[in-house]
Amino acid sequence: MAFDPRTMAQPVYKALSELRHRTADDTRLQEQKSQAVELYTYLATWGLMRLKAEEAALSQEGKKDVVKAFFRALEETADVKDLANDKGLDTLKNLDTESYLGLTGLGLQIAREFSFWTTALYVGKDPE
Amino acid sequence: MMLNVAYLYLLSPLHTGGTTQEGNLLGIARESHTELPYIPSSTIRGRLRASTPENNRNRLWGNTIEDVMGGANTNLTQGQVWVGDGSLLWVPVPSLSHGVIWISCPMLLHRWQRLTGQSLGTVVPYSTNLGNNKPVYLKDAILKSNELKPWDKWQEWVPIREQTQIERVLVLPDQHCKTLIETSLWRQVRVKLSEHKTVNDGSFRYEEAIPPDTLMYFLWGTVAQLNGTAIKAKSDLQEVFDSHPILQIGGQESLGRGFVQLVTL
Repeated sequence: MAFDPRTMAQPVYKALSELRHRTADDTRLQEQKSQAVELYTYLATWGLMRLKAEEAALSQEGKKDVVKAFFRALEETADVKDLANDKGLDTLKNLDTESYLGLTGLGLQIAREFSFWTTALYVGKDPE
Repeated sequence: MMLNVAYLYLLSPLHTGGTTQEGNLLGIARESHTELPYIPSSTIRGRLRASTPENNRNRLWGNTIEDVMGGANTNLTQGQVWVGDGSLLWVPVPSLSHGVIWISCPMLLHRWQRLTGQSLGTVVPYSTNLGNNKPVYLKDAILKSNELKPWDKWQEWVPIREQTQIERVLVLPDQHCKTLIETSLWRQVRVKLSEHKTVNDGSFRYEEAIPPDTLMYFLWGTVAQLNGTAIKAKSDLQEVFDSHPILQIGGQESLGRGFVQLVTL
């Protein structure tokens, strides 16, 4: 069957659960959690390009982990090449308006998935 | 049965609680088929019921479970009027080139046309009254001037325009309009401070709301089985509308949320 309601949940769950289970450090886990629930609001307020730029600017490793995971999930779901790697900013810059807005819409949905799965996967790891 | 329309022009952010509560975001009510924000009819009805003079309240809106439990009535009764959900029509978004631009999309505009029984024709994406000589900057998207389509009849599609500030309009394709609306919702950070004025752990959250200066509308009418009393019921409700040009709808009244200008034509 072509329609699979898990299309967006699967890559996000996979990315976030891998991140959660390979991280042992409590501080880093808290950083991951706080960034993962923040993705949707950040993206809605500032847009995709700034979030991609934030990936390089973030000093806290846990937060950086999550932004990278987000762009990997977006690249996989949208089937847009060179989004998750260091060419991502150029890729976003060169998209036409239609594609950029379309990708933003998809990004918002994926960011919501991140928020949802964070609550489930990071129980007890409350951000400061 | 007659359909009547009432318009709501938002004077402050409007928050009606919804099911989208992921992570630390307190979301708002959304239509299931479009995911666009809306005002549930029960929210509007509750406010109008409370604003109806007591001697007309049960006749117009039906009695309550308390009336039955308290012995005043033997059964629950249906009221004489109904109200529908509040739908978006024009939503303000920030623009670097024009300050604020009100956006809508063919889906929302045609829905309004259909429900209000008008025949204004069709609207195509990128129709705008901003001209097509200069690009339009919306949030972080730039619409090139050659994509824009001049739109002479825009005023027909902006009801109660005189009572609003809507002057600059742009019709976007359905899917992009949805994204822009999503990114233009009012989002406020909320924290709880301890007695030492520091933030309590775990209290940091965001709350969404529909932004001020949004134009919305809802339908209303009288129920089917009124046997000749429909005209009286309609004028009684119209009286409620006329005596409440400003209403407070939805949650967080103590924060000044949900004040709307109510206009019926």
